[in-house]
Amino acid sequence: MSEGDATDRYLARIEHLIASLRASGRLLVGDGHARTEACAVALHSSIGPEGSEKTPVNQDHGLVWINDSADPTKPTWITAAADGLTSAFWSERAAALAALAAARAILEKPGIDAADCLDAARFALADYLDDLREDLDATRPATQVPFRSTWQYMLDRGAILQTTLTVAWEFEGRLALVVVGDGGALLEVEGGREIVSACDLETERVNALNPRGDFDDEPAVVISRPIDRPYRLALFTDGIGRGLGVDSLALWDRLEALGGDNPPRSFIEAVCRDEPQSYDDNLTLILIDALRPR
Amino acid sequence: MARQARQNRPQLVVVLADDSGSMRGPKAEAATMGLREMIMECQSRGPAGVDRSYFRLLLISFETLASVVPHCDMRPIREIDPETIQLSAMGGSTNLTAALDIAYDRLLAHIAEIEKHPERDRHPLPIVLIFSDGEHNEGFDPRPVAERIKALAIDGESVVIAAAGIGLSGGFGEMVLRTIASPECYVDIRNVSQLSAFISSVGSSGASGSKAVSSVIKKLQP
Repeated sequence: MSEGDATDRYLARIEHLIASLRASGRLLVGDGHARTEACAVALHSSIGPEGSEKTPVNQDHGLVWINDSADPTKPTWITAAADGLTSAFWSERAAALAALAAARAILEKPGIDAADCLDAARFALADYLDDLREDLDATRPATQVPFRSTWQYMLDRGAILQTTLTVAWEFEGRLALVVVGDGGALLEVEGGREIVSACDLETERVNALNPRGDFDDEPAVVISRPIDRPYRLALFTDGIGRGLGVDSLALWDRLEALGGDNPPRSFIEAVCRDEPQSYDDNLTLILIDALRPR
Repeated sequence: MARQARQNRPQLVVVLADDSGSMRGPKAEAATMGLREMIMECQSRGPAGVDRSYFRLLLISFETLASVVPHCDMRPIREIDPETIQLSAMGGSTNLTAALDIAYDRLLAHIAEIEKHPERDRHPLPIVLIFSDGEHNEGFDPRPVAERIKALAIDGESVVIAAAGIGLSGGFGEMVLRTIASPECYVDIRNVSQLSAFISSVGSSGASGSKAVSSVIKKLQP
């Protein structure tokens, strides 16, 4: 298998996952906004401020799936934000595979628990890694990893395909959320605002999903609880979390001030323009606005 | 803001490797394996691209004298073939001072570069690893030059020396290495796998500053 083949196999997996999600609802990937009777959603994912020293590709991945047919056997919405670790190879592929695979697992079994959801994401990484392991020499991307021993090491030790993952969904009046790594999550319900998951501002070392399962990838946050509408949920990767700092709840006021169809996009464009030093990373922000029942 | 390695501000990893005769056999093999793993781990960090190294390596081997391994003279890590690293431990005494002197000269110039770097406040500090299985028995006292290295600093944050004494428990050799090491950055190596782990884990940790380095070292302790 050549490097091109390895990329083709990755793209085939992504296309298959996207197709299966689109078959039963509306899927937004990377950017967009949509509205149903139950919710209004918006997301934006960006490589980050222009001129910053970043990876050549956006290693974040953000998606929202919404139940546009009001099918009660399916979740009302599903969202995922993943941040491929800069410290591992092909992490942008890990972020996309993990987010999409987790979303599909939830769609197939809305009552799924956090462990099974993460297993589905982990399996997607492991399955792709197994593909890469076939015909090791031929697969080695010589232009990117010049030495066979390093490529072998990365495959053996899992220094490849690592990503944080934050997934949330609503099903039968319950909000479920699971976080591996340092993704942020804020919740606003009537009468209160809550930091559900906070980015660790002190360390660069984060837990991450990986294909080998031999790293510390235990979830930092697992939530499954009844929730009343209306409420709003914001998910974001650590680039947003570090920019917001300790006062992350201020994000709600900033989003309200921006308004428009896609407040996450407006927010990211604003911080890239006005605060590039503070938001010097890949940036992904997702907003779920669960509407009051009619 | 944490100091983090990036392609435009790679971390310099300085390894002072005891290549004296007493290291011959399993210890030299373990050190070689640790160095190779360290390089492979460092190479796997960061986005794809040969020119996107997050680390540079300065490898100095020492016995009676010390010398820079030619293809590891501050070189970007992705330009170094791990398989070419080999400690031979063919003979000689143990001259820590000679190795530290070379390291100090290179670090002095490197720190001056960081001082002028546009992202100086986020540039990782260099990290120095030294491992030895013997008492310093050649040349001047190594401790003064070690102090000069540890006095090198950016914005008040000092260069860290992490030291590993191999089977030196309680001897003069251990006392010297403990003094050379930054606070809580000495590790007592009791078997060869620990030696490999020390080199590969600490060298590829990306840790900047004594607190971060000592945290990595603590995880190595049995």
